[in-house]
Amino acid sequence: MEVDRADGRNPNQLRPLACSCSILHRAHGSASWSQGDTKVLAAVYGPKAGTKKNENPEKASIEVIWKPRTGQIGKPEKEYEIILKRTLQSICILTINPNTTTSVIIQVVHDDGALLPCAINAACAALVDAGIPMKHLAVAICCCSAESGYCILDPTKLEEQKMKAFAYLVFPNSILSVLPEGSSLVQGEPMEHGIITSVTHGAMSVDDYFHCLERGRAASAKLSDFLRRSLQSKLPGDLSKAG
Amino acid sequence: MDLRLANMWRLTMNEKKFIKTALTSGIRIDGRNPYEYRKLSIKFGREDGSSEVQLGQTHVMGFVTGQLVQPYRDQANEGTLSIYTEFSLMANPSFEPGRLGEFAVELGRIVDRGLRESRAVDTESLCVLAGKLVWAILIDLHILDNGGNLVDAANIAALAALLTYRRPECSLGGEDGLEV
Repeated sequence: MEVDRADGRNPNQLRPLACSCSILHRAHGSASWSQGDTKVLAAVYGPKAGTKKNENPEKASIEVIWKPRTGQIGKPEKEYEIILKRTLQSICILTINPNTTTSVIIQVVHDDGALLPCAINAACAALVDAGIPMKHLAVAICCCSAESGYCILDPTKLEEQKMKAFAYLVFPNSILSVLPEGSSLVQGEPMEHGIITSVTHGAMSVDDYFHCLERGRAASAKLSDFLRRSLQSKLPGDLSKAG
Repeated sequence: MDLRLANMWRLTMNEKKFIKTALTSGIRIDGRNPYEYRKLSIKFGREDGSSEVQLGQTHVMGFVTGQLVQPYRDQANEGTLSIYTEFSLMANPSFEPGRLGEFAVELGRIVDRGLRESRAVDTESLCVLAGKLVWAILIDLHILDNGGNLVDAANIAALAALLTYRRPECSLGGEDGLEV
């Protein structure tokens, strides 16, 4: 089903992606991720001693601070912080540095739709830049579902507001395997088929949701490639970078 | 990655002494002359009223927004200008989130005083309806990276953001104010 999008993309097309790492000097790791006009800056400070009161001291904990573009921190920002924290906790290896806190600070530079996925991608790249041990990377994508049931990917702010419902989906990074057997199997299914986080707004039918999931998963392969390429380009010479 | 944990970094006595003795003989640790400035670059964002300033390693972003509010009683025909500076952990690992440190307040005051005393913003032109509606300009300064000399960088960021800010048009219809 053809649909006209304001900027001429087709329903499965993502906006141009850009990622740059190591832009801040004080932070241990930093990355800036932009999808079209939405731009987010993430900074990571490596393990600090001590955890907060209600955190488990036997594991490392992750603290997320979300800074909006203008204005004070309010409820939507707190919600984003919690979602981001849960997502990052499931991809980082928490047993390596117990009783420490790793801080991730997200600064919104410009918001033009799909803000949370952009922030998750930026946070992931910043964690890699800082050298925090992780099980695998995560890629996040936003899918919208409209009245007639078709779904579009990576909406702009105007599109997001017009749509009936949208979902932010986070998938694990697709694995580039060196073994001929292919990716490792988790409970009998390849790992790419898992999902880390799903946040939905609005009302959509179950079929629509599964449809969005499929489309999102297909597009996440493209995002994974992009993430891998931009992170790989800084690997070889950077072994001497100390914290 | 270094074994030093992020919140335990301190300047050692040796380093402090070295910097002081070097300064007395006119040498700075990055090789500049005493009166030399670092490279300054100002970039503007896509929207009106956003700027990004880089002074060497110091990185500051400024955003300007405006809102229609009721004016103060004693300044019924002038708009207001307010600065909000927030130091986050991003700039410096020793900042605690949520608590506004002394330096952040001082920085906000310095920028505020500078813009207000020099009449950089004509507050009378911000008036829409005397006594009822005026524009309140809010400048948000985000310190991204603290590489020293935040006062200069913050001032430049605030000015640059103000220069690109365009006030929305509003026209009065009947007795109520309508925004366009």
